[in-house]
Amino acid sequence: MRTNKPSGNSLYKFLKSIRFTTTVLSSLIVVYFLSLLVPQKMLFPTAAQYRAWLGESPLHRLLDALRLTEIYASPLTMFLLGLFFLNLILVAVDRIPVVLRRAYLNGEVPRVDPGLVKESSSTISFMVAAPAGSLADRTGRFFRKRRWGVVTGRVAGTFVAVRNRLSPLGFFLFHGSFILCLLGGLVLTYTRFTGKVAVAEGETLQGRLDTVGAVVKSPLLFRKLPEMLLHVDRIETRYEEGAASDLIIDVDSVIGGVSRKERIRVNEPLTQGAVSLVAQTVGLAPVVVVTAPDGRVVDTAVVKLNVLKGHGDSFALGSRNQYHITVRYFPDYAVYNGAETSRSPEPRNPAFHLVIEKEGAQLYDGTVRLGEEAAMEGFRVAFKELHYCANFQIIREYGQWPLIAGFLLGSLGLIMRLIFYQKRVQLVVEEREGATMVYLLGQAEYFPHSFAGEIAALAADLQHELNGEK
Amino acid sequence: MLDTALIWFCIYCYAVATILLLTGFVFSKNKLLKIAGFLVLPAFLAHTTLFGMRWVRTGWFPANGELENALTAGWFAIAFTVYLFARNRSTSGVALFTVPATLLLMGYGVMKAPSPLPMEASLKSSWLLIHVLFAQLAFGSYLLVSGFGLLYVLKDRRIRSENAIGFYGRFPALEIIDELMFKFVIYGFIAQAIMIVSGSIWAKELWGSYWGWDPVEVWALVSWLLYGLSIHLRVTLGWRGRRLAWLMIFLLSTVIISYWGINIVVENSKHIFGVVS
Ligand code: HEM
Repeated sequence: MRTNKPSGNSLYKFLKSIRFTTTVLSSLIVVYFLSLLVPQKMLFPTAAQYRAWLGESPLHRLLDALRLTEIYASPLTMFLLGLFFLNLILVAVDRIPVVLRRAYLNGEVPRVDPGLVKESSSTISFMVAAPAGSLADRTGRFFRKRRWGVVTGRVAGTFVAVRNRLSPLGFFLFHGSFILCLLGGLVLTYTRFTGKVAVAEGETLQGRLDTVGAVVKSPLLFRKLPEMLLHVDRIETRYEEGAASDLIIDVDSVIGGVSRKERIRVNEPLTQGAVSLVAQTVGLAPVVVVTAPDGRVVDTAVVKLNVLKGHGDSFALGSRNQYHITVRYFPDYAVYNGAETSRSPEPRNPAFHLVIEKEGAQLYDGTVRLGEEAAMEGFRVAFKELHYCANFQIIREYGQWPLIAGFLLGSLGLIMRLIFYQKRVQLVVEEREGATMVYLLGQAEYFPHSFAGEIAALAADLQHELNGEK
Repeated sequence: MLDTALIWFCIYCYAVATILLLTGFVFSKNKLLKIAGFLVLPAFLAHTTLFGMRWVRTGWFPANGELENALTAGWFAIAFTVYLFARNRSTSGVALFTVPATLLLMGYGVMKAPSPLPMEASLKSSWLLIHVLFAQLAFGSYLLVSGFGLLYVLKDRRIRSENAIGFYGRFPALEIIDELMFKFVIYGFIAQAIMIVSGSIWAKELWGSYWGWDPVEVWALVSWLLYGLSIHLRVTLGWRGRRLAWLMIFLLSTVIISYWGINIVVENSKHIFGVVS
């Protein structure tokens, strides 16, 4: 006979089913996997390169239109994440009574069926030369000494001994930690301000976080940003066998009214409340001096150039910025086979290859050492002092604590659930023809077969104990 | 140089042990497996010495460049194998998987970067130890998982086709292999979770955000979710046996890609595990 169930009810059942969990989880995995195949917009170094990629083929434009190139925030992913958390909450709520019962926390006296225990092929039994009434306490003590909990069963002479009784609660800790991580992630995303700023040795910056440098991302919530004062005292780079082995930046800062003297390094950002300053790269900040044909110094400026690691950079000079100067930097200048190169990344013999242009016409192309001059229409330009500048990422965000709490609780839940999994022994003590029989039926979550050895050893020990043997 | 001599000693021992293990399994020769066991032990000692030497030399956990990553990952895999061998000989069949895998890793490492690399500033963090330790612990465990998966499939096939166990009688019962496999899944899954969490905290200090959807991060997440899914399949949907064993063998590929293949699969990762040309 067909029963007419309301369809809303069956949809609800489906949404809270474990099968649906598998489907949603698999779909999310597929989406994240897809993100590795479809080039992601954020991984393109510049917006122009992304636009060029779009122009390459209609397929690229289709992927863009479907938002698959920004897959992590695409409607499809959001929809799946929505289903994931909906399913998670429904399943978790549904499982509350089950988990409480498994952890023996629902106040019910466990039901042990003596018939079933005695009949099971895995049951171990032995005889004890003592009346059944005297065994309850001794059995309890035996298990408690080994850190097993003992619960008396509903039927007389039955017990349940449980190891890691609370382990099932780990399910809530672990799966609940996803919700904490989600919450932390959302708060972090919506309150995050990201900026970029380059500060040279000796330079001081002052202003609100979003006015001191370039804004990369403005916050959607908590838009009010604190004031910051940052003075860079000293920047030092260290090298070992050609690798940049250390970066030391000594700063004085006042952020949100708190002043500090701090040393920032790679892996050691400056953190003040919700604001942090992460040193990302260093650049050069030489003092550029321009001298007129009559020997007068007409301009002195510190220019910040990202020219380390062989990168080229450029800057403009002149009253109308009419001189365009492209720079390549050689910290340890040498010429091999006619080509300019650097022997090491250390500034042992610094030199700059300069190309000076004005309105497309090349005025100079040559290499100067520190202090040497390059000529441009009678004017001379020289790099005098060599300082470094530090490129910082400025971040202001909230939400770390739910995230960290999620990490901790999640790990705890996982360990509690999977390493300290629950083991149970159902015991039946029965008097038969003047002797007492003890039956033990052991069960373990996840590893029942491996548990067989442990329960056999436990039964043997219990038998010795109850028979008063050493 | 002692360093080089030890590397080659390990490689030769693992290579011969691999041949013995393969021949032993293919032709059902118990004796060859025994000899392989005796070769793995001195190789493991040399391996441990190398691992220690690299650590002492730089003062940092060996995780710099392909060879050190191979040394560390292989060390955990062989340590687990030796531990199983010492505890219960019958479980040491996983060596069929862990020894050749370690051999391949070390060969690849020697090809790429045999001598110690200088430590970049970005690697100098106390999180390196936690992050890489758990990453390699996870990898070692997952190698064992695949080893048990393979053992399960082979033994199961023998039982099905010949209705007799014969040579495979020396290995544990199928149910026990299945449980051992799951034990190492759990071990790897927890280690991988700690690897991801510690990596994310490190990323906040180094790059400024906990999660940046870097391809390596995404692979690690996909791989972790897949192992999580496989735990679900076993715990909530009751998957066991051959089906699960094959899945577990396959899942190792996701870890291999995220540890060793990421530079081949995608560009633009911020994670640099070794020498970049
Ligand atoms: C919609 C989301 C999810 C739901 C509804 C869900 C549900 C469940 C259920 C019902 C169990 C069995 C619990 C038991 O028998 O005690 C379980 C176990 C497990 N799940 Fe999930 N799960 C979800 C997502 C995940 C994810 C994303 C992972 C990790 C990748 C994961 C990892 C595990 C693990 C390791 C176990 C075994 C330990 C335990 O019982 O807690 N789950 N899950």
